[in-house]
Amino acid sequence: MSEPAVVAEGLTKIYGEGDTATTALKDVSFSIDQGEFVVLLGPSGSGKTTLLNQIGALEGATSGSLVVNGSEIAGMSDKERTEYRRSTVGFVFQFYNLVPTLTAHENVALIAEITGDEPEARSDEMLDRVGLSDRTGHFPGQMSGGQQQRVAIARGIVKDPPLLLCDEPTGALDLETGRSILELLKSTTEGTDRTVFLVTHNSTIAEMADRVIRLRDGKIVGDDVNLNPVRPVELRW
Amino acid sequence: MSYLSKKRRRDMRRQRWQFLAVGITVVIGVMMYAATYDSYLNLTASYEQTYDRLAFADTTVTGGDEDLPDTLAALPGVAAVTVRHTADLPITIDNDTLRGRLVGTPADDQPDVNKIDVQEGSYISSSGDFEAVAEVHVARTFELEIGDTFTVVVGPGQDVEIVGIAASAEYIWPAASTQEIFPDPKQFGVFFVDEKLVAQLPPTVSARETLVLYGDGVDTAAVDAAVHDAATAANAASILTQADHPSNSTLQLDVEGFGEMAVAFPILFLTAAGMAIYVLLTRIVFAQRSIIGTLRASGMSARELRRHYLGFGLWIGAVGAIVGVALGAVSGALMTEMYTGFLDIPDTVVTIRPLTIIGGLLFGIVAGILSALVPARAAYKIEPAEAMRGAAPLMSGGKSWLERAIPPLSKLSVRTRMTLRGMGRSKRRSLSTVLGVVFALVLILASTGMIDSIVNMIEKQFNVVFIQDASVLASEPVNAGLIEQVDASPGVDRSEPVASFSASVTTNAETLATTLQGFEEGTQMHGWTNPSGSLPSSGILAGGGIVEKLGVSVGDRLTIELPTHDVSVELEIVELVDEPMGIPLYARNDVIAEALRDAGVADPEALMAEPTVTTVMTLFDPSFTRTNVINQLEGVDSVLAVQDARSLYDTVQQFLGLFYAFTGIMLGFGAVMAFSLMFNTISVNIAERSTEFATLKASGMSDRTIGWMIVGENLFLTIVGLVPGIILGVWAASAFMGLFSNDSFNMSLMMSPWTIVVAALTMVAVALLSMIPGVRSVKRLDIGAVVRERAA
Repeated sequence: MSEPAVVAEGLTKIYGEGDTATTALKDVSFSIDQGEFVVLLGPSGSGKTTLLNQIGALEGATSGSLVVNGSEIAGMSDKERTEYRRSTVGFVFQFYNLVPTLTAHENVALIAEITGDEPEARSDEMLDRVGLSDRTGHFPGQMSGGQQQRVAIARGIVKDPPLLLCDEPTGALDLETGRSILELLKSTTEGTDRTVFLVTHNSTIAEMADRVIRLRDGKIVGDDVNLNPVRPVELRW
Repeated sequence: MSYLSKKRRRDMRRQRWQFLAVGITVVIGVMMYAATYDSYLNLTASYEQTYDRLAFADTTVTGGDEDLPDTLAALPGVAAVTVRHTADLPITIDNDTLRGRLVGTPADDQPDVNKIDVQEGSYISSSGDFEAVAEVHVARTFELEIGDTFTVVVGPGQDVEIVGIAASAEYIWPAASTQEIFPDPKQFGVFFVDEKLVAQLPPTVSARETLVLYGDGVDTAAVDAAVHDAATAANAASILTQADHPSNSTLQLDVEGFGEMAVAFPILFLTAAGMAIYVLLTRIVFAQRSIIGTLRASGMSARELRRHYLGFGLWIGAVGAIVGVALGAVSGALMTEMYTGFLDIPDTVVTIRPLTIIGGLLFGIVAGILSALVPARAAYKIEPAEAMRGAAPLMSGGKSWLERAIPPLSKLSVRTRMTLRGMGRSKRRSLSTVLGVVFALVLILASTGMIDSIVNMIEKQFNVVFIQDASVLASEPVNAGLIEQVDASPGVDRSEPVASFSASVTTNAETLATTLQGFEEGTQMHGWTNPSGSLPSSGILAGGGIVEKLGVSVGDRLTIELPTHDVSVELEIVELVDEPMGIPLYARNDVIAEALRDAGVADPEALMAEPTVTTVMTLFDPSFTRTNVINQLEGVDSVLAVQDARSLYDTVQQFLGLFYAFTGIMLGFGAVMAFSLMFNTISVNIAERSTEFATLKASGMSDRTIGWMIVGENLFLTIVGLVPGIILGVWAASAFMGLFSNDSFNMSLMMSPWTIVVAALTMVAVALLSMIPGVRSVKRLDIGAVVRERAA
């Protein structure tokens, strides 16, 4: 059996100090296997985005341990965290965050360029995989929200990261487009060891996950394995 | 090209008008530096080449013992010595009478020292005929040509034929003496004639000069000291180094002021450009927070991000610097040609200097990089978690300080309150608009203030201080009879004798070369700017500049040397006068006579009546035509020449011609920069709020209403910037005036309140003008596109 993808032990994150201190994550522990599709579910302020930030090494933890692919990331320096993000993590954000002055192709190639992986070819390949081979020369302002999110997904996976972290990727999309995005996320990870963390407050989306971690007030209130995940196209909300 | 570079290029293209505005500012700053600094060096080189080619004397010694030339020639470091005679004699050219300076020069061969540059005709021959070479200024003033003649009015008169026209290093600026740096060109002219003829004139009208030229590479200060000691020991009447030579020192003062401004103004422009780059990049970084967060989350290092945003500053600085240096090289050459042509400098040296190019490039690039440092730092400090937020963090809301200060304002319409609160919402953005106004006003007031001061200075000098209409030079002693004759001439309202001595005052290591002028009691020929407003009955009045120049003040007794009469008088400073030009000394004629008597002069009244000392100043009846009055005066017996005070005014204006041109160009550039700065801050403001304006439009608010909100907010900020802008602008104008101050001009700021009002109104107009593109862009705002892009 291969080592777990992510193991958290007593992970705690506190923002601020003294009277203004806010505990966003409190003593969180879990273990996720390679290739699992994990949904982090909870209402606003439950700590799900904070947990995603911790896994993505976007910010440091206050205490506890977080091991990703055998490496402890909780105590990494800024430089180590940058290197970790470069080699291990891909992101998909709710608001896409595409560079408006670069085309779809260039937005993807920009990230491939960071790792030095044949940016031209990799970008074309990824856009083809997300079904946008005919939109490579379009600028973000010339595309629909769904198309922009596809570009964002292509950008997230262009480095072929073992971890893909998605923060409310369907939050700004309609049902139909949202489902197609989720289908795309699912399909781009099937048959690989890539582990996906998807943050949402929509409990319906949890039905497509292999694993559902429920959070409330910074604590894990449920950690369930879904033995019968459904295809995204079957989701209704 | 990397994709990050491509992003930068397109970001710049997307905000091309803002970057263009910033770029123009950098170009102007670098161009001004390259053009003016190169011109300054070119002019210095032009002078040096002329001085070298014509062997301009390093020291000119007047008088002294017979063997002085041999003594000086034997001194170490002295390369050549030439002895010559000069004489100031009345001459007539057609019907005009003027003071002709006859300068002796050997026939057939140029002298070893102080050669002349014959530009037309030929050099003087030893044919025995009376020949002269006219100096270019007198030739131009009287339109003299080869073959023309003038008459030396000595005895029966002697006609002299002009065989050539030449320039001289001594008379590039045709100053008659250290005290007369602005002679009336119609009343003073220089002619080079056979030395043998001038040497024959009696010693009472001619002076022997020993011209000393130093060898190359010698220690000038050491040779100066040795020459000074030897000349003093040989009883020389005056010793004039090249640095103190009236033509050279006048031109050097001008060129040095030019050189100082060549650095000061570009620094002001580049600081403003730096601020504009800072504002623009800060707003770009702010707008790209989520993208920066995404790039950081994707593994981009802080160093790569810093380099990316520094690249904006580097690019704009480098491109601006390259264009600026190129334009500066061309403008520098044109300015040099214009200047040397304007002053008839025989040699024009135009060189493109690698150091100026490197300096210009560094100026632009360093300004670009320095101004991008803070925004670049802000970029790499953005936490990757910002990417999760999707939009810029919201500002904390609240009432504006104006509403808090004046509670009834809270009852204004929501639109108006929104305008008021808009100013405090992004303090940096508001501050940058205010700073834009401040910088622009500094630039405008620095230029207009200088022009204003010069105009006021000249008006004061010629309407308040020099109030006489003309000075009459006589060929005989000035006595009561002559005054009566002048008085009786048609159109003359009043006439008075005015004495004028060349004078020098030395304290510690400083020497002031000036004039001591004597007026009658109750004179109406001069305006008195001392506190009591009149000429005191004892002691002297001194120009205010004497305090700084010599470290003396009211109550101090001065020993005033009168070298032309080999006597020193002692007089106490009673009050100081505030005159724009020079550092003069004034006393009543009877006070000077008494001081001369105390100094051992047997008959001071007779000495002061000498026509070389005293002239007759006159006031004209305004109902008469000026030219007619002067013509009538020239016909009076014993009148040698009439110096029109108006001509002096014109000469001073000519001297300041370049100053006006330079300051006028500054004013034009200042206006362009004011527009650029305002346009930039305002358009960045509007671009940043495009979503907000799109939402308002979507809600049915009219373009006009949104336009008025933008105008209101920015106009208010413009008005806020006016006060510090005016204060700093007046200070900057005063500082720049100081750069031009010297012994000849006391440049203090005299700014009309109307200038400030007009500058402030101009600023408001420029602000309104610069808002037009932004307001129009709101009209063209594609609501759908803004919303889509915001999502991106």
